[in-house]
Amino acid sequence: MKSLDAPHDSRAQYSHTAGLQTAGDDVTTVRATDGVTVAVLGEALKYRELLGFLVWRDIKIRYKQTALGGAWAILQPLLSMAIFSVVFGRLAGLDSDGVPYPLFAYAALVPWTYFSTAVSQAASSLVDQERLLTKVYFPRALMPAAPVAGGLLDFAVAFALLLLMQAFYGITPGWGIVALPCFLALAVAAALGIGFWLAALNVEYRDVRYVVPFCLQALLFATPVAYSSSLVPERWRPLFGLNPMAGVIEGFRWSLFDLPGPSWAMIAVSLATTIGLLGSGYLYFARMERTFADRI
Amino acid sequence: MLTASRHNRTVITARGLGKQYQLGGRDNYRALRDVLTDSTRKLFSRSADQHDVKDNIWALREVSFDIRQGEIVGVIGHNGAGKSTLLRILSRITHPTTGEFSFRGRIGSLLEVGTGFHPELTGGENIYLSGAILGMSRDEIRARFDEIVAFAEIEPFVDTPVKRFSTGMYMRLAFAVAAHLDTDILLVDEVLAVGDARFQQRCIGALENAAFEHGRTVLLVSHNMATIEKLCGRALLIDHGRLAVDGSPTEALEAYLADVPTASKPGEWIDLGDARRSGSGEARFIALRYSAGSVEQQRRVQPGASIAIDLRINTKQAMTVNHLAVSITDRRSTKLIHADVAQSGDFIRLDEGNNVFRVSLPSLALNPGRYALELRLARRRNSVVDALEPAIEFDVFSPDGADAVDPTEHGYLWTAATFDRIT
Repeated sequence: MKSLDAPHDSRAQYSHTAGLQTAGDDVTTVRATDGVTVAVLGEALKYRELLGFLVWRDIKIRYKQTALGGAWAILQPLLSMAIFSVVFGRLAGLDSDGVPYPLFAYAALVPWTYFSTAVSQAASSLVDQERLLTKVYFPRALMPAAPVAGGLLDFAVAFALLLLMQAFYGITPGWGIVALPCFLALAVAAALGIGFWLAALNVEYRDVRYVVPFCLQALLFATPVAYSSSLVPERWRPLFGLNPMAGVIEGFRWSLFDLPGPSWAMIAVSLATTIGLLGSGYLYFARMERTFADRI
Repeated sequence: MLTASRHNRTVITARGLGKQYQLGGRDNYRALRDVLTDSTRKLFSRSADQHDVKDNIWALREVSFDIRQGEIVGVIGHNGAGKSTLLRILSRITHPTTGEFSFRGRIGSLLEVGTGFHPELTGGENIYLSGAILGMSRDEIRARFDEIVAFAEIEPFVDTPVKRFSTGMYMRLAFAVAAHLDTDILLVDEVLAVGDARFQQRCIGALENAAFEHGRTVLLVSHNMATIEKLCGRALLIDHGRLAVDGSPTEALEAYLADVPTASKPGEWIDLGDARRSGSGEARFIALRYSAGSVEQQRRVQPGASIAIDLRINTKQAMTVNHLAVSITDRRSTKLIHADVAQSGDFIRLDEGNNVFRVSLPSLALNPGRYALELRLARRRNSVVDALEPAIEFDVFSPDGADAVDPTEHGYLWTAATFDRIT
């Protein structure tokens, strides 16, 4: 193949830097040397309508593909509750802080189911949507964020049943119920932070796909879902809080069942862990974002 | 530096854009196992760094240009020259390794047909989803919904899941969404190659309209030189990752055509090892031989000759492919003849190692001139194993022995016409 004549240095005839002088126009500049900036976050906000569309798509598709559709939102925690009640409530006779065991377990299974579903879907979000990733640009953070946001619908359905169960058992929440949204926010932040990490890692190492289900299962037992955190010795509880979901579930039970004061130290540690996970997860994600399309 | 006139202001500037890829980096994700073995190997091998350097290639190097508002700019070049990489950088799908670029307003990219479509969703739902993913707001989509449906001609099927759509309907709907994209800058990659001729015409019309009526700027990658010539006021020729020509379409086209391989001779095996190709590479065309049927035509193919094309295909692993296709195009990539094994409802089995197939084209009614031969091997329509576009060029000579002429002047098709006086 003969080469083309005069492959001139195209750069020479232009000024050295790219730049559009503007009078308040909407100009975007991309430089190879750009560092990772948190400014991307502001851009992601501009795309919140698209986030809504992605959530809407996921929900729509699930309803079209499954026979039971939204019923799974309730069935999943409900079936787990039945199993836990028999195995841990009856057979092992675990203490449930004076609350009927099924209700005790269900109150933890609702946030747990939300968390584990959101994390596993976020982890595979980039890899599953490879076509989108390589063909069109939008802030990639929306991809793991969509299942984390969309899971809230299932959560709401399952939570409504939780309130019905509480009425059935005649257990009224105390004033702590006002704090419940904070604990939910903690679960959302934890799922998002871990989702960022796993989604980005999954692009590079497909092993993540196999590790996630196993880790979530292990984490379920390291979280006071089937048992009460009062089983954990007082001085170990802050360490226990390194698992963000431990703090979330401790908070859920406390605010729902009007129990005596929760282990605030544990919740504080969970909060700190979650902030750390969210911040580091987002930064890692932002750093890897620009090479996703090349690596996937 | 910038003039005030709306149609004259610069909307994209690129300076020294470059993109380096690691060979095998794409399509080859790393498993944790590889990382572990790699680091072990590095412990014992001092040449690990040199090895890395060798595996890097520049898909794009030092590309600079300015584009003004309302321009339709064609981007041409051979497969793998870097056209798509340029579009992927400008659309921000991937980040440049060197250089920088700025753009004014919003960029919309149409790098495939049906970005964001989901088969389970209905036509109407997909308009919203795809529109949003391509960068339209909910209100914009709502305002143009009826227009999109009408453009795609799918009125009765708005509530049907697109998985039940015919390919034609799917393509039309997908392009209709894209054609109504309201962004200031449109990056388009080959999507015009879909649908029937009438629909293609309307797509071209939609692009022209976007540029001339609404002042949108269009960057269009295409293999179809005729489209580029007709549609674009300016063209960029990318060669080996560098911007070789930035000028009028004719200028870029001439440089592009001067660059294709010289015509190959009939009757001997032609090595395709150096040819530019795309596809997964699981199987590869390695050599080609074409010959005319009759003895006197073996050295010079003449109009009406029967041609046999022998293809040697090498594969590491036995496989079945649905498409083995040979196309003859003019030098501007307009397809004149397309023969695909799938047309006869057949498929091809490839055994491990070398396979030789013969494609026979009886009485090739081509006027004298130079033509290109394209080869394509694909499992399914969009799952290309190996494609060489073009593989070789060949000449058809006139029986009187004159040199090959440009068929654009004399017409492409030949027929054994006779002229008799009847009165």
